[in-house]
Amino acid sequence: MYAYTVVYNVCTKHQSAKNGVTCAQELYRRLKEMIENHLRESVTDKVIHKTGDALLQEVHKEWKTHGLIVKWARFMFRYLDDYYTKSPQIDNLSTMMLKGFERAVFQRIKTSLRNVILTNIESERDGNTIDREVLRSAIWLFIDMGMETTEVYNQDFEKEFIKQSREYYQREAQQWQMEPGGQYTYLKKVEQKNMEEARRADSYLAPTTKGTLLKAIEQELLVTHMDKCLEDADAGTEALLNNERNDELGRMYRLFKNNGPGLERMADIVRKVIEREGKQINSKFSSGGTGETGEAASTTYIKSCLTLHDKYSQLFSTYLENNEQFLKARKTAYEVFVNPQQGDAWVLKQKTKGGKEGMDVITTSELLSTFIDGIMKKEMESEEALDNILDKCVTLFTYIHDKDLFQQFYMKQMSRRLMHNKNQHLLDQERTQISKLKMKMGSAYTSKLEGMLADQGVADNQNKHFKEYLADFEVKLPIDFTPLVLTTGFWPAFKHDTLAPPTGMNNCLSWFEKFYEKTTQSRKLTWIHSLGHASVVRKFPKGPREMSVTTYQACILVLFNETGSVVAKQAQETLKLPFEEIKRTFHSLAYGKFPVIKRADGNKALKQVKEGDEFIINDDFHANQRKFKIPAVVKQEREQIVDTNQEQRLHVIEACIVRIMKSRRVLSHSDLIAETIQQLSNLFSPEVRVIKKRIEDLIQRQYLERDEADRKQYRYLA
Amino acid sequence: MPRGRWFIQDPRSCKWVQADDTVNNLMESAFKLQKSTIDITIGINEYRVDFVKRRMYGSSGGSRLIRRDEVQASNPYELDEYANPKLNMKEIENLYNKCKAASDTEEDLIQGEGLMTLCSELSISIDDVSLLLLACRIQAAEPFKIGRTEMIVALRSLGIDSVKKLKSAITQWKNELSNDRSFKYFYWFAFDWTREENSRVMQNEAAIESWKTLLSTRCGKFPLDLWCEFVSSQYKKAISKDAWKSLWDFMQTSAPDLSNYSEDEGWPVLMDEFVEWAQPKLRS
Repeated sequence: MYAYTVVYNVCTKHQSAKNGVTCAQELYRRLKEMIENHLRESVTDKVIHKTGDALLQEVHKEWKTHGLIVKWARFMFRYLDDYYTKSPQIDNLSTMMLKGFERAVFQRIKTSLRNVILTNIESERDGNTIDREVLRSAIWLFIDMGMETTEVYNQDFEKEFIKQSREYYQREAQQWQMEPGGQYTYLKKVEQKNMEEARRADSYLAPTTKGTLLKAIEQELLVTHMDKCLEDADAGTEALLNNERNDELGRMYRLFKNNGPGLERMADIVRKVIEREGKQINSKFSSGGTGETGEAASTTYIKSCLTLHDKYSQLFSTYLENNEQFLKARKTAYEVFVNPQQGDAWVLKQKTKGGKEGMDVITTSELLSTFIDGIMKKEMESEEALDNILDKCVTLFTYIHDKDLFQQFYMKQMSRRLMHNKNQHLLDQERTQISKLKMKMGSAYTSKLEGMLADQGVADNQNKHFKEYLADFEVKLPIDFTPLVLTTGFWPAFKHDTLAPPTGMNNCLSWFEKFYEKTTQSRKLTWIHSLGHASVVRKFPKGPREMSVTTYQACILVLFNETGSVVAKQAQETLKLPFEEIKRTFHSLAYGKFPVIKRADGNKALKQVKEGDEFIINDDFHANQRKFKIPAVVKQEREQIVDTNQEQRLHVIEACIVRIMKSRRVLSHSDLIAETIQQLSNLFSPEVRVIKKRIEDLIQRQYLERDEADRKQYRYLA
Repeated sequence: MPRGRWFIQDPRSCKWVQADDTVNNLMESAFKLQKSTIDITIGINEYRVDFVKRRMYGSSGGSRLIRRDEVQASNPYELDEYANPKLNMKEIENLYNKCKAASDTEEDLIQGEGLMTLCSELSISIDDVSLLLLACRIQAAEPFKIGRTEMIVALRSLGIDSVKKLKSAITQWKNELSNDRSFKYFYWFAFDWTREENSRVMQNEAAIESWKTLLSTRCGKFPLDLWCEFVSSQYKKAISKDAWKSLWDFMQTSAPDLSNYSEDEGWPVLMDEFVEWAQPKLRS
C-alpha cells in the first residue's frame, strides 16, 4: 500500500516538466531502466553460461522469477498503468517488462535454448524420459515472447522443430523398413508413433503445432513409402484382402484416411481384387465347375455373387467406415464382371440345350431373373428372410447394364408363375418385389408387371360372378373350369392358338364367352390354350391317379376316352395343332418321368414320334404318389427373348432421339449421342454405331435434317 | 434471286419480330405481285397489310410497322417466281411444245425422247452435265422430267426468252460451276433428278456412274476410284440422300489418306465403313 501511495504522489505532482518530461514519464523510464539492468546483470549472466539441461532449468527458474517481479511491479505501479500508459505509444507495464526480458535475455539465449529443447525432444522420442514440465515452460516462453502473436514461436521454434522431426522420422522410417516383419510391423509402428506424437503435442506444444506436426510425420512415414506399403506382396492391401486380415486393413485405412492419393490407391486395389474374384465366379459357372446344371447352377452363381457382395459390405462397415471410395470401387468392379462383353474372357456360358454341341452365351439378367423365379416358387420361412434376399437381388440388379433384357425375362417368368399358382401369399411376394424394382427404376419399368398382378387380382372376383351366372341359367359344366382373363398390353405376347378343344371343354369356353360379353363391352376374347393346365384323373389297374398336365396333354389324353389307341396323325387332325406341338406332347406323355401312354408296337427304344405312330394307354403304369405333375417339354425361349429385346431397343433409341431433338430443336452430333446414351443409361447402354444408324434412318424418314451450313448440327423437323 | 424477309414491330416493346414462315410467304408473294394490300389471318386474328403505308392493321384497331429485309438465298438456284412478269416467252413455249411432242406421254412433260430433242435443239451433248444443269436451273421436281410451268416460269425469271439466250446461258452456267458453292447445290440437285422415280434412294450402279461423271474433275486428291470400288463391292446397299450430300463435304474436308477422319463428327455410317476399309489400302 505504501508503495502505491508513493507512486501516486509522484505522478500527481504538478511540477512543471523539466525538459518537457513529466514525473510519470520519468518514473516509467527509470523503472524500465532498472528492470533492464537487473535482467542484464543478474539474470543473463546466470543463464548464458549454462548449457543443456541446466540451461533449461535455469531459464525455467528465471522466467518464473521474472513473472513474479512483473506481478509485483504491476501491483505497485498500478497508477502508472491506469493513467500513464494508456496513451498508445507507451506500452503498459507488463508488455514493457516482457520486452525488457526479451531484449536482455531471450535474444541471446534463444538459439541455444531451442537446440536444447530439440535435443530433449529427440531423446524423449528415443525412449528416454525428460522433465516435461520444464520443457513445457521453455516452449511456452517462446510463445509468450511473441506477445500475443505466434510469430516468434513459429519463426524461432516451430520451423526448426518440424524440420528436425522430419529428419528424425525419415531416418526412423528407413530403419523400420529394413526390419523383419515387413510392412505389418511398419504400419503398426507408424500408428503407434502417430499416437505418441499427438500426445506429446498436446502436452507441451502449442495447439497449432499439432496439426502441422502430424501432417509432416504422415508425409515422411507414409507418403514417401506409400507405394511400398500398399503394393507390398505380403502386407499390401491386396494381400490383406486375400488373407482376410481385416484388422490390419482397418489400420491401413485409418492411417491413409486423410491422405487423398493414398486412399484412392487403396480403393483401386480393392476394386481390382473384387473384379478378379468376380471373374473367377464367372469362369466357375461357365466351366460347370460345380457339376450342377440349369437352374441349380444359376442359383449357385447368383448366390456366390451375393455372398461376395455381403462379405465386402461387412468389411466396409466394420473396418473401413463405409467410405465412399470403397463403395464406389465395389460398384465399378461389379459392373465389370456382371456385364461381360462379347469378347471377354469371363463371359458366362452354358451348355446348349437340346443336344447341340457348344456353348450359349447367357446373360446375368437371365440368371438373376431365374434366381428370383426360383425364390418365388419356393415358400420362404419368414417375411424378413425373403425381404432380405430380394433386397440383395435388387442391389445386384442395379449393377446390370441390360436392365431391359432383365425386364423381358422377368415378365415371361412371372407370367408363368402367376398362371400356375394362385395363392395370396405368392401375390404378396410378387408385389413386394415389384415395389422394390419400382423404387429403383421408376413406374414406367414396372407398369406392365403391375398390370399382370392386377389381372390376377380381378380374376377371383370374376370367377365368382361367373359361377353365379351359371347358377342363374342352371347350367352345370361337365368340367370344373376356371378361366383367367389377361389384358393384352400387360402380358408378354403369346402365339395364337389353333387348338380345337374336345366337346366338354368347348362347352365351358362358350359359356364363359357368353358371360364375358354380357359383363363387358367391345372386348374380344382369344383363347390361349398353350398356357392352360388341367387335372386329369384315371383309374389305372394299379390304382387311380391324378395327373397335373397342360391343356394340350389333357386334350390328347381325353382322346383315349373314345378309342383305345390313338395315332399321332389322327390326333393332329382332331385337335388341329401343328405337328411339332403334337410330337412334343406325345413325347412328354410317353417318354417322360411318368409314362402314362406307350407305343402300340411296344418298341421301347424308339424315342422319336412320327406321324404314323400309334399309342395306347400304359396299363402297367405305376407311380408312388397319387397326385403328380407331368412336365411338358419347354421350348428354348432364350434366343427369342433376346431377339425381341434387341428389336425393341431400336425403337426405344429412336423414340429417345426424337424426344431429345424435339426439345432442343438444334443439336450437334456429339451432343446428341451423349444425351441419348445418358438418357438410356438406366435401361441399357446403347452402342454408338447403333445410335448413328438410327439417326440416319430418322433423317431418311424426315424426322431430322442436317443443318446446311454446319453439317455437324441436326435440326428437328416438325 | 433476293428474297424478302418480313419483320413486324411489336407495339409494346418496339422490338422487331420476324414473321413466321407462312405469314412471310404470304406477304412476300403479294409483295412480288405488286399488290397494294393483302388480308391475312394469324392464329385467330385477322390483319390487313398495307405495303404502301408499310403498316399492318388489326381488326380491333391498332397498327404495327412492318419492314422487309432482302436476304440472299443460300441455294443459288432458288428462283424468284415473280421476276420479269411481262416477258414474252413465245419462243420458249414453242421449244417446249416441240420437245413434248417427242416425248410419248400424255402428261404435260418433256421426258425420254423429248429430252434428246431438247438437247439437239440446244446443241448440247446428252452425256455432259449441261442437261442436268438446265434441269437444276429450272429446279425440275421429278427425275428425268421437265414440266411446262416449271420451265417457262424458271426461264422467265432468269430473263431468258429465246433459244439463243438459252444457249449462251448454258455456257455461262457451266463456267459458274467452278464456284464451290454453286457446284455443291448442283451436286445435291443431281441426286433428286437422277434417282429412280418414286424412290427415296439411288441404286448403287447409277450412283457410281453419276459420281464418276460429276466429281472426277473436282475430287482433287480424294481417292474417288477407291470410293466407287468400295460402294460397288462392299457396301451393296442403295445410296440415301444424306449419304450423297455428305460425300461432297467429305471430299472437301478429308486428307488424301483419310487420316483426319473422326467417327464422332456425325458422318453417315457409309463413310465410317469406307474409312475402315480404305485406310489400310491407302497406307500401303
